[in-house]
Amino acid sequence: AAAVRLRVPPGTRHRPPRPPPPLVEGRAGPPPGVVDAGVGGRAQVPRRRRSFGRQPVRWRRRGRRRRQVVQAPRLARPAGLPPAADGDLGRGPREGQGFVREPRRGVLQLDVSRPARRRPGGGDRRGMQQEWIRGDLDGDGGVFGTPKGAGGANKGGAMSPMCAMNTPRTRARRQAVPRADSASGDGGNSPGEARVREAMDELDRRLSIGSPGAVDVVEDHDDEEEMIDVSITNDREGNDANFRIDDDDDGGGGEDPPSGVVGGIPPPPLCKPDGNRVRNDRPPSCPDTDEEENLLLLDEVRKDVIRTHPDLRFFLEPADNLGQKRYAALERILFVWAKLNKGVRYVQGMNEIVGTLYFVLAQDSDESWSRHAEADTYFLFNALMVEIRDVFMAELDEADTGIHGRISNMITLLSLHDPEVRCHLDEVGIDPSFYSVRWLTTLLSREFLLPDTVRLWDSMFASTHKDNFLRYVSVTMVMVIRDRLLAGDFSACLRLLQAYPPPDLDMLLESSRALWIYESQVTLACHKGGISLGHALRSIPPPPSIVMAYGLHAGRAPPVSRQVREAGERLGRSSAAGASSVASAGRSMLGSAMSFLRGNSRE
Amino acid sequence: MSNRATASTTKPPLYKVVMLGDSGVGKTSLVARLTNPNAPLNHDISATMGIEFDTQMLDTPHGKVKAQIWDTAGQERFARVLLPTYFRKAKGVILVYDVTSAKSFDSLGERWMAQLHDHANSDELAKLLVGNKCDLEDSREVTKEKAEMFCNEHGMEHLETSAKSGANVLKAFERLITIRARRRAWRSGGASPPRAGALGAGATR
Repeated sequence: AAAVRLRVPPGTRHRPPRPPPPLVEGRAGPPPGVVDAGVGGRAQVPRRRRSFGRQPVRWRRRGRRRRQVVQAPRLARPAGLPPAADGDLGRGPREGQGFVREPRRGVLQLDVSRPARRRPGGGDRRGMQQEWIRGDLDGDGGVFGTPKGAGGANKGGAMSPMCAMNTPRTRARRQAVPRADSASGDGGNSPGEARVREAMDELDRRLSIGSPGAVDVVEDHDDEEEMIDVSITNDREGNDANFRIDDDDDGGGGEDPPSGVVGGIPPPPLCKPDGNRVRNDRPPSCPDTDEEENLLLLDEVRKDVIRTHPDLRFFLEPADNLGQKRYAALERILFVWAKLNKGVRYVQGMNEIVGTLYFVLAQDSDESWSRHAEADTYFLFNALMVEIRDVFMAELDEADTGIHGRISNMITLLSLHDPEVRCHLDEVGIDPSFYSVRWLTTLLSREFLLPDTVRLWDSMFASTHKDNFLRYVSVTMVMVIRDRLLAGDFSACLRLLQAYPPPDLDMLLESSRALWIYESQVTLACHKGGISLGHALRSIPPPPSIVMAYGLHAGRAPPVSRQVREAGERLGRSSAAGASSVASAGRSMLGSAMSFLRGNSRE
Repeated sequence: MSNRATASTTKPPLYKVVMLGDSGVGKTSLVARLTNPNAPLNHDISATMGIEFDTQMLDTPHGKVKAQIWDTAGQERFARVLLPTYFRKAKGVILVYDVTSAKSFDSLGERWMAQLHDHANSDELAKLLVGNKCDLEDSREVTKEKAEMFCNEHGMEHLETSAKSGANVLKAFERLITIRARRRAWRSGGASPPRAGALGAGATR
């Protein structure tokens, strides 16, 4: 047995095959050591074996499985990665690319033995599970944390719009549901729909209105040509059936009041927190006593709402006070959300997110959809906030998901893949928070022109992990302008980062996706292959579309000769002028990057 | 030695100025008016997120200076995230309130002064109190007297500006530089700076 053990390459943790277990009279169980108690569910094995009583076969199967497990992780599969259909980051390298699903010891068995963790109808996506679990755990995270509704109702209200947003599968399922179904009035047969409808009613009540039809700004689509020409990839099927229910619910009663009510309420203060009409059916969670606080909140919200996208014709439309009414819709959404999520309240930046969502939804070419843009925006916003809420909460500043945590994650990534830029920014005195606070709190919606933002958000919503998506895009944004950053001083760099030059968005997305994949490979190689970070960076070549410090530019790899020349030049420059700065930086990251460069120049 | 002399003649000194005040009082508008005095003040100024920077050369009686203006977000949430970085190497602070909003004035005393003391060496900084939107005389809620009293209490000077009409905007920044320069002179001269009241009286003349 000792000889066998010697031949095993290190790191594989291969155990020599055991002799078949001795047959014990009346008990066909394995020897006690065979059962791997560390793996969930394996304890069942002896019982099954007893019933089968077919030891040799069992044994062989077990052995085969173990051999499979022992194989080295297949790391180098980047070449075969299927490109995403429209270049978006929806499929991160962690999903379905064979990286994480690699049969790791124990995990495979864990998955098999605990099928309950999979969602019954949806996919087996880890991200979704985490979201669901997270949403379940925090009490106030639901759409409606009212004591009135049962806990189940809260969850249903909170979760359904999110699956509407996140999972292509749910979307597909919804597509399959014909629209007429909910119109026929059987919308209440599914508990989820009933919950959503309950939530919608709740929202209506709190919005001080009789029915959604009464407040929704009916978009006049004759105006569309005059507005900024934006190609909105409005995935109408993505708007889920849940939102449609209330159209049909209130279809009968909702039609009559609109003109009267809209006309009766003066446009700017549409949202009356202390409106008489709702005083009686105001739920206890939202007591009427804190009127002063309501007014303060409303004041705060309004101040920002009227400054949301102030350059957009959409919000300035003078005809019929349409622009004002749209602003009033934003105000209601933000106010209601802030009241229902008191832990977060309202934070600047939310107005930008809501404004952009509303802009897209309200300009749907199908009027039956755009009529309900306000409610749709609310729920999309709420679903989004479940994921990014932590950024807005001061209590979580230092947590991993809080603002400081996210910024430092981003900076870690940047210093891994472009240490030169990171050191330069440090040297000129630019704290990452100077630019990334805005990037993270507005989900990059202030950095680009609106059409680009919409395009970016399409990819982000398709992404399973918005946090990661934002991080990789942010880092790529810094790396794309690295040449200009490296040449600039404090104010030049800051101007570049705060007024970001209009990018080629497709290139940006593509290279951030490439970065994501590359990062996953490197991390995986370090964790599973047990090699050092520098070794991983050196041995795994970056994908061609990545924009990096390593001589690749603008998404295209330059010819090898140029790469070599540039690497040589950079080496020379840094040895002559920047040697002292490199030494002072003294970062191992930089060292690994430089050694990578050296390797490049040698070949 | 000569090196330093040439540097001071060719490169004007850099003054880091921090704008503080509640959300919506017009800090960004003031900066926009300063850096772009002739452009009509447009309304497409979004709420500042986090922090924004601008630089402007100012020609003051004390020579040319380069003002590096840190325009901060008014909302408390961002102040908490970024405040420690606001005051690093800052030379002056402009506290802005809205003359049409008593609340914005009250929160100066309640919030901003406290944070200033917490995070910065308040004595080192040149401070200026600015009441913005003074063109809206009809809806004024904060009287000049009230503001002057506040100034005397905290050792500041006071000025009312209007980013809309451009009144006093440039003057406000120049005044801040002057205060700073005067303090420097006092300090290097070894004398202690005069009391706040005297400073205010001397400045308003």
